[in-house]
Amino acid sequence: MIGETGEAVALEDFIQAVQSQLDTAQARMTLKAQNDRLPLTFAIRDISMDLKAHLELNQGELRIRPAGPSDKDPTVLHLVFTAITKPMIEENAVPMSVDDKNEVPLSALGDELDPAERRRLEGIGVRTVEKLNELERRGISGSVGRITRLPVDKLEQVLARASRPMVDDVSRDGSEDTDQTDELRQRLRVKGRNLLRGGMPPQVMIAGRPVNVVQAHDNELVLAPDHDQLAGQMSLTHDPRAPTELWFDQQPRRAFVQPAGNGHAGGYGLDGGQP
Amino acid sequence: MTDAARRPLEDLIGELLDGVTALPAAGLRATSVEFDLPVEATVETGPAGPMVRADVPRTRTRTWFDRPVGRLSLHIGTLPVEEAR
Repeated sequence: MIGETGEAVALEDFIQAVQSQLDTAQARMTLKAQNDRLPLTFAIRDISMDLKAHLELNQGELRIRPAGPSDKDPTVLHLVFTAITKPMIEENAVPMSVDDKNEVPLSALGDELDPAERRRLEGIGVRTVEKLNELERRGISGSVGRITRLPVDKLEQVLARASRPMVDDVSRDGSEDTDQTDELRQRLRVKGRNLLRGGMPPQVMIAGRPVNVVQAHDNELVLAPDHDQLAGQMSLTHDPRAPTELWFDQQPRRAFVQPAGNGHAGGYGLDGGQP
Repeated sequence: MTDAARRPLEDLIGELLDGVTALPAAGLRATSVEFDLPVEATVETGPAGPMVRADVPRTRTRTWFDRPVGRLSLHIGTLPVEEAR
């Protein structure tokens, strides 16, 4: 607990937390009214808080620490929040498109952003990788870096990562039965995001050799690998400085038959395949 | 009052809103309500960021072990459900 440990939080983080919690309270109220089929609901018009706290200025950042028991002479912060309308938001905010439910959350970037950095981006409405890419397209990443206190090089690094091809799944077209598979017509389907840049597919290499791309969409590539390129390291590159690399194995399942006379009857195939 | 027992701010507000919604809707209807409450408030950090915990004091008398009391003023009004979405 911050008030007891002496740790303080940035004032803007505190205000964002209150805003988020007020939104939650209002959303709950609206859902309740919808579920109960009420024509009217109660909405928060204004809310003000008098918070007794200690203020600290640390490297230009104002931080607050709520007063604890027996703290003398705390500062009284008088915070007032009011409901703002959609036109007011649109008039004052950097316009960005609405989140799509199919978009990928920032957490998909893994360790590129720590939780605090992700929270600061989410605080300005950047909750998805697509939103990050939109910042770059609009040329407002510098402003966003300043507002969110993310260093420019860090933001550029994250933006580069966000626009790299992202692979969710690699699968092989064709029968699982190796005897019936025409190896010349084997296809690999690579599903993911950012697979096109400027309408062009990435350069794809498997096991260090290029692979032909026979179909390309932003969320799916169809590759024509050689027979010995159904497993190994795949590399997808739009920008040589930021390749996407992954390991995969789509080789046909080989039956493994144990030697006769070892006490087992017959053999078994990997992953449940038939011998 | 222990910190563990203190509720998140949205729970306190939600309970106040619930109480107002439960008022009888027939006849005269309240169109707005204002609360002015004493609250004990703290901020808790977590993986999802800071969270404000605020609750009304449980005791009238204060001791050296209790946090200082702040105030929460809340003005709520009716709104058509469609508009609140």
